[in-house]
Amino acid sequence: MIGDRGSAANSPHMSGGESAVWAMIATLVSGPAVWGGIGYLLDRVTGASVLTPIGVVVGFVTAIYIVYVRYGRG
Amino acid sequence: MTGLATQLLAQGAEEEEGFHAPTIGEFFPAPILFEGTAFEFTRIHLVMVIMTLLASIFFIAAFRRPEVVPRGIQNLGELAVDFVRVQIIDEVIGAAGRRFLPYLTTLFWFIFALNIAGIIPGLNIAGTSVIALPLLLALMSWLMFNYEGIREQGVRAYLRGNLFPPGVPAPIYLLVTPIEFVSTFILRPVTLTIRLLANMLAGHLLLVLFFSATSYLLLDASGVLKIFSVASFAMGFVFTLFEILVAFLQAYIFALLTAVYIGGALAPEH
Repeated sequence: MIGDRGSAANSPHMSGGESAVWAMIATLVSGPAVWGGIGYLLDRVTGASVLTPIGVVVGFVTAIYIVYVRYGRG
Repeated sequence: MTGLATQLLAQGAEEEEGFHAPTIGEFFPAPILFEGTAFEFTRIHLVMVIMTLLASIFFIAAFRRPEVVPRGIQNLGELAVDFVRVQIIDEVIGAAGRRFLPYLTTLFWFIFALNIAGIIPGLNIAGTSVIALPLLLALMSWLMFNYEGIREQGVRAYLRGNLFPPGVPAPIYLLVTPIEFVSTFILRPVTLTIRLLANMLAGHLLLVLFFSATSYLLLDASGVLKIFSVASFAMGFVFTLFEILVAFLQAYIFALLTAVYIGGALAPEH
């Protein structure tokens, strides 16, 4: 990939892929958590009740996007 | 079946005690020393001290007078170090990771020693089943991979690589960066802690449940129920074997993930 410096640790090792899986899982979990949390806090502040689920969905979509950008391309 | 249920209910009604399943109080035993202070020393701390001493004595004895051709206990010590070197460091970081061998070896065998105390008769509780040590070790691993990343790449490049994945249109970073921040800098130590703690805690509770159930069914329960003590004892036996596997596996996963995080910090992703 252009710009990839490449090093021993990026070599096609089995565990290179393993570490990516853990990172993907972490992203997919923290996405809804972060934006659901922000949505929840905004709900508390504004008194609305719809922002939490919106936050969760936004977070989930963004997390999938992050996984695609980091691991899916190239 | 209803007859059995009735009998069990009657059991609970007659005896003043009945069966006491293990509670969270298992992990807060009566203090031995320094009661009432912040430094309360309980049975669990005693287990931690004993297993730390045993692990330390093993490695000191193995490498006190090292020889090129190892004899005796040095063989075991070399086995211990080689396991971490080959299975964890070489697999994940490569040759650049050799300087982490002392930390990762200590991490793995320390966690394993504490975990395995859960099935050692007499000790019977894992030193890692209370949050202090898993949290401390996760924090150390967190400090280590961040320090190595900053040292290797410089603060700006390290943070930029982690928080701002390349190839994302600029306004989307508003959504992306908080998620990346949480998943890299917060979730990693939290999951390291909870994974280890929860496994050891649950394992201990299950073992206590099975063996106290065996004792209760065998000694205190009436006639028909005594036969079930065989089943609960068998479950306890099987679970003890399983706990040995879990003790090893959780130590391995902790050390492996630490190595993965360090390796990821040393070698930035595209």
